[in-house]
Amino acid sequence: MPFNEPGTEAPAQPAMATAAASADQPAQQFAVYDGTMGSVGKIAVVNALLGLFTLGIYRFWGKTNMRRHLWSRVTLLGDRLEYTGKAMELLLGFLVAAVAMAALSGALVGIQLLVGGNEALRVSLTTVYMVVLYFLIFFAVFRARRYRLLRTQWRGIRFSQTGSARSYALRAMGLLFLTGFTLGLTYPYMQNHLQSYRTNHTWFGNRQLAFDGRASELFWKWVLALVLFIPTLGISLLWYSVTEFRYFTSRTRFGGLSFSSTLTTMKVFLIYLVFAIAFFVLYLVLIGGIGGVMAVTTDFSSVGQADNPFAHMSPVTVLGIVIASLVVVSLLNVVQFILFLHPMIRAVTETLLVTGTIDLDDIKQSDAQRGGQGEGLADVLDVGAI
Amino acid sequence: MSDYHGSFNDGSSAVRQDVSVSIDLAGLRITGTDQAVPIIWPFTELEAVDNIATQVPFRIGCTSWPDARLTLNDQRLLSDFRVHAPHLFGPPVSKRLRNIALSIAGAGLLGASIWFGLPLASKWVASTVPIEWEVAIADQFSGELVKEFAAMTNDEPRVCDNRAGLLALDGLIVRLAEAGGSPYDFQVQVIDGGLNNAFALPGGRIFIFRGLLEFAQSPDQLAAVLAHEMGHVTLQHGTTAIVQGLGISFVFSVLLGDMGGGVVAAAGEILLRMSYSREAEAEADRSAIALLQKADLKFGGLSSFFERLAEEDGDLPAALQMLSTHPSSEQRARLTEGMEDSGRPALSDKEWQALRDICKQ
Repeated sequence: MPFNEPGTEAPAQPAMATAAASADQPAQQFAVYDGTMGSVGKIAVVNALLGLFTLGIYRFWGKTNMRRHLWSRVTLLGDRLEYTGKAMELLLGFLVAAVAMAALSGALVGIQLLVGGNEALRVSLTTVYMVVLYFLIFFAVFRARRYRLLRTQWRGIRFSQTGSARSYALRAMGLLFLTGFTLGLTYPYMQNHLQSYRTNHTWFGNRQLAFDGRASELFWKWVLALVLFIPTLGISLLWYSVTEFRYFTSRTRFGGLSFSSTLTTMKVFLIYLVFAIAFFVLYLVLIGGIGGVMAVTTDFSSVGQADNPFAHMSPVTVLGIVIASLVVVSLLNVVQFILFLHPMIRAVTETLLVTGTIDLDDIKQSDAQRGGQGEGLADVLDVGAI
Repeated sequence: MSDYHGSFNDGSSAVRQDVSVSIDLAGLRITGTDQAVPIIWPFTELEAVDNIATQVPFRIGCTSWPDARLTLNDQRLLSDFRVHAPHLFGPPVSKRLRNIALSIAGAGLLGASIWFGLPLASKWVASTVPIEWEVAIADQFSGELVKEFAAMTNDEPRVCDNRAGLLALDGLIVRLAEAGGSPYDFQVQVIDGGLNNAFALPGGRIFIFRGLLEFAQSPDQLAAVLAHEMGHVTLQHGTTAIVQGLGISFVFSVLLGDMGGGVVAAAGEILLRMSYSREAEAEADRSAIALLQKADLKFGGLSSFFERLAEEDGDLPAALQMLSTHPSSEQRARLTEGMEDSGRPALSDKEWQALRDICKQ
């Protein structure tokens, strides 16, 4: 049964269900995002406030609430996405990952202090640590993606991800070295390879997504972006990212469905611009305010020489500054959700097109189990296995 | 009972089935699926996927049918749900408020245990660090620190090595070290710099600047400063501060996750270390007095030195001050109240003169 049956889909997009009913039809919009600045902003503000009052512990619940909201506001072909993650999973995973990271960085700091005098040993130790850290970052990103896919459902069917985080991270590290070795020239190759690994290991129910992009199609665009980097004040990199995104989208297939994106650099640039202006205005105002408080309570005559500008303030002043900084950081977080993430999701979804058909009768529930752990714990368990 | 129109996903296939839904005694009755008999979802097992009060259409799940979803768009159902399954509308406000209050109380408890527990934990960790490690740590920082301090008065750091001066200094050190019975091997160096300061690093390395030798009015005052710095070493104040600094920046980055920036971590670190430091200085003072007494030296130099320093420091830029976290002179005077200061002088006049000339080449 193709998904063109009339149903109870969101009234806002009645044409959606028949969107891709036949292959010769022109491309139709694939996704609709109907979140509003108000709805996203409200959750972001609540999360920021409770995050402050609970020393940041609320963020696992806040993150979960935000995801539930954002997911449920994205409609694909007439049906909304659903996020089924639980805050406790994130918290537990995080705690274990935190302990592991504490042990790792504690060991590094300890060894570094001990070998102190030996410069060569110190440099090689720092190098090893950086390599391990980058490996863990790629590793964690892949695991977190798996967690999110396993907790994303559409029509009651969940997404999943196969492939191994270790293999992904090793590939990423190798490609990163290659990119560094070629002074960035092979960057499209790295991007394409990793995108291929991610997409080709992504499933919806018992069906796999497919990606067949080729880095050579991106290479000269990347070179052009590098050449134009200085004359365009770096905007050429944004152009490249958008171009890459459109290319990757066009090489992605799910069954008989193929995708394309008409996202423009201008659209993304404007989002960045508005966000950057708002961010800096807010930042200056708030930092100025804190500076004013400090000026009243601190003797600045010696700040130039002091190795530590906090040493001559009362604990109350320092506490005030800590709290003010926290407020600033969480406010900027809220602005990021309202002025960056929200418009970005809208820009990407409203330019995402689909052609072709797919037989939804064939798609069955995924065998992949959700597992009880969050993003962090999975990371840590696999780290332990290495 | 009226029938409502809905669509059903059974959780095992992506097919959407058009169904009709009615309110039964036991629960939601779903007919028109590919099942032979109508499906009953008991009210108590229903769960809301969306915010059903505000979102249309909204989705309902059932705990005994994992992944199955019923999508409904008829808000008339809400009145039925309010009667039969009020939990679909979320927990009542009182429960939410209670949860928030509990979380904030929990966070407060966590904060308090970090605030009070971290210094204790750092102290314990520091006590497990072998002395060789402390020395290794100190060796790493000593050069940089001496250079930094010397730069404050635009001096090139040079270790003073006038023979007679070294002899006098070593005599005093040995006397203090033997009396104290500290496991640390104290190595004291005089740096040819005008700064009126002295500092101790973990493991027993102590640095005195020429400026302090010139400032001190008597060998007793110098002995008191030395005993004070030895107290810092033996009590592991430096090591504890390093452990604590690492601990605080870690706790901040962990607790605040992406919220915590560098400013926050640094400020928090110093905030805690500051209150700790004042206490550490007092502790070092107490240990200095005990040490001077054991070595049969006068301890009056301690309060007279720091008192004079306090007067002097008032005129100095903060960076050059030695006293920013030291106890007040009244507090210091109270330490020795009622005690008889009967010890011998720390150095003979000749030795004292030689020591003051230690930087002469």
